[in-house]
Amino acid sequence: MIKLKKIQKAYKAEDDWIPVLKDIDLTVEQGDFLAIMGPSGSGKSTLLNLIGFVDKAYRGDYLLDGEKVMSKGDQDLSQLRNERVGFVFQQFNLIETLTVAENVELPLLYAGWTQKETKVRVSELLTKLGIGDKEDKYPKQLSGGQQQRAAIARAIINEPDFILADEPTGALDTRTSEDIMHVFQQLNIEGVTIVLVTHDPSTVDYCNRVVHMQDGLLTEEVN
Amino acid sequence: MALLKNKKRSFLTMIGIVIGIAAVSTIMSIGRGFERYVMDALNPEEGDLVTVDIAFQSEDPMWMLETNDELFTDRDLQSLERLSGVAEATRIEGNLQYTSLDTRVNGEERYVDITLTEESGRGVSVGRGLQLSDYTRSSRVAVIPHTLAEEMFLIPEESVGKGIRLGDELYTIIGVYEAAIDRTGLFSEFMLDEVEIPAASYNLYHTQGGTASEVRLTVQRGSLPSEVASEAVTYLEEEGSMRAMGSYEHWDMSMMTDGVSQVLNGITLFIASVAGISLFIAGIGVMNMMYISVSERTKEIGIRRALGASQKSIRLQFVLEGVMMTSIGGAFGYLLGLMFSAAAAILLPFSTGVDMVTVLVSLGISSLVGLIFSYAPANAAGKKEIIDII
Ligand SMILES: Nc1ncnc2c1ncn2[C@@H]1O[C@H](COP(=O)(O)OP(=O)(O)OP(=O)(O)O)[C@@H](O)[C@H]1O
Ligand SMILES: [Mg+2]
Repeated sequence: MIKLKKIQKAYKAEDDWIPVLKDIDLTVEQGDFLAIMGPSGSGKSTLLNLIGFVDKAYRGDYLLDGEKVMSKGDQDLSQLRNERVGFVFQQFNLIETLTVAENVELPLLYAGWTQKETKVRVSELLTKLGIGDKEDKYPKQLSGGQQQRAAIARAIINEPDFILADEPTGALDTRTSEDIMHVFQQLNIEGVTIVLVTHDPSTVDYCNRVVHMQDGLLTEEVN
Repeated sequence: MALLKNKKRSFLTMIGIVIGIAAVSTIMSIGRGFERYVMDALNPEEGDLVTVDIAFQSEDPMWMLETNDELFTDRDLQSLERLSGVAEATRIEGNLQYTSLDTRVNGEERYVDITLTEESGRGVSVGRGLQLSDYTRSSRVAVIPHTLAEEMFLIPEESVGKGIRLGDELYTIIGVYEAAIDRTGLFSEFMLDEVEIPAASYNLYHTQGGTASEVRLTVQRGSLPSEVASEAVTYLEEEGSMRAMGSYEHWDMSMMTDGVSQVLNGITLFIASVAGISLFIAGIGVMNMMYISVSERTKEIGIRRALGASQKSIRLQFVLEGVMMTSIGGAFGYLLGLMFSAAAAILLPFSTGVDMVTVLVSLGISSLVGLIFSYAPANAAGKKEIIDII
């Protein structure tokens, strides 16, 4: 589904360019639960943004279902983000001024749904994720684990092909982390492809593939 | 809505809009109230059609008295009828009260002043005075002053029954009156020795039906009489057949509304500049607030972009927020304006009220201000790079 060929990326710092990704080759298949591990600053988040159609400034080829992504314009990339990807972040990134339900329905609204149409679907999903009673609460009124469940609900409401999760358990305690990983596991069983950036070795147990990032290079662990 | 989350800031930004729109709707309410009032007073919806009279005034009064030319030709009348707002144009006989005609006194040609009477004339010392029947029959009879009778016939009493030529017509003298005696002699020059004849006789024998000096325009419903009249005067000054001989004039019956209208124009100009300035400043305020809002909500923008919002939809979101804020301000401004104009109406001779045009203009202007001044910040919001944001 996702094929990266010789991806290079560098950030400009003062006068010279600092390479962050050097010749990354990666293939992600439908149904994969892939863990990306590696030290801080090795370029994991950079890679994830690139896969998520957020970053356009790179060299090499990114093929999605065999089609080059780089050549697309803002409208097309926005549509790809909306339909194909779900993002989950370490800091949840819920919009503070919106209720949980309003946060979760956003991808549907950008997909052209009306506010009325989203209601049932949002309620069902929140109930499934165990926060059905928090619909009208604001993010601040929820615990970290509950906020991350809301963020996951928002990531999967539009039934994406893959989820990109950047240290989703990084801000949670061990017990809550396990709960969240169970949610991901369940989604993966239902057929959602997941790419997970993590520092926590215990979360790797849920994954079927692990890659290591080191100085902008990727090596896959064979088990 | 983010603007509801920051009520104090939004409120402060809206004050300018509120004042500006209040000014706009005040002017409009008063203006439209005045328009209705003028229209109603000068050309009511019911009853007879209103008429206006336009007079021709020659630079040379003597020429005017002597000429037999039509002062308003048929062509003039037809052209006037073609002007918008004119239903009909007809000549009217000048209802003169004074004129002068030539006569011969002891072989000497001279002009005498004539008083034209419509009913009974003044008291006399000899013979009888003019009566209503003389007027209705257009009799060629005259009452002459004592001094003239003395000059012509030496003994005034003998003048009754004799003739006097006025213009080309012979009149029968039926009475002689004693002019008010000026004992001091100081005012003798001002003492008028007027010959008195029935107005109807003058009109019949001396005007030959062709020297009507006024034209009467019937005004169509829905047109302002004063506007129709001044349009007609302008036309005549340029095209009228007598334009070379004198000027056309119209006495506006609505002088008092002119006064009100002048004061209103002053007020309107003042309020309009208040409105313009405060709307502009308010617009800058809106722009400033939107820029602040955009930079405060950088993260929200990034999140929305990650969820699939395009640059366009982010831009739309911020423009709509700006428009929403200014139109709420506009709505309050309209209500405030309604109060102002109601207060002003107490001092004015007409009433003001809710009307749809003012409502639409108020909301239209306020949303336009929002649209114009939030476009640049909204565009900047759309252009933000997502990676820098998340
Ligand atoms: N917008 C940016 N501009 C310049 N340099 C950047 C930018 N984003 C990241 N970098 C640099 O790129 C390198 C990789 O960053 P990245 O965030 O991908 O690391 P990471 O592997 O996700 O680290 P962590 O585990 O701490 O999240 C770092 O050295 C970082 O300083
Ligand atoms: Mg990172």
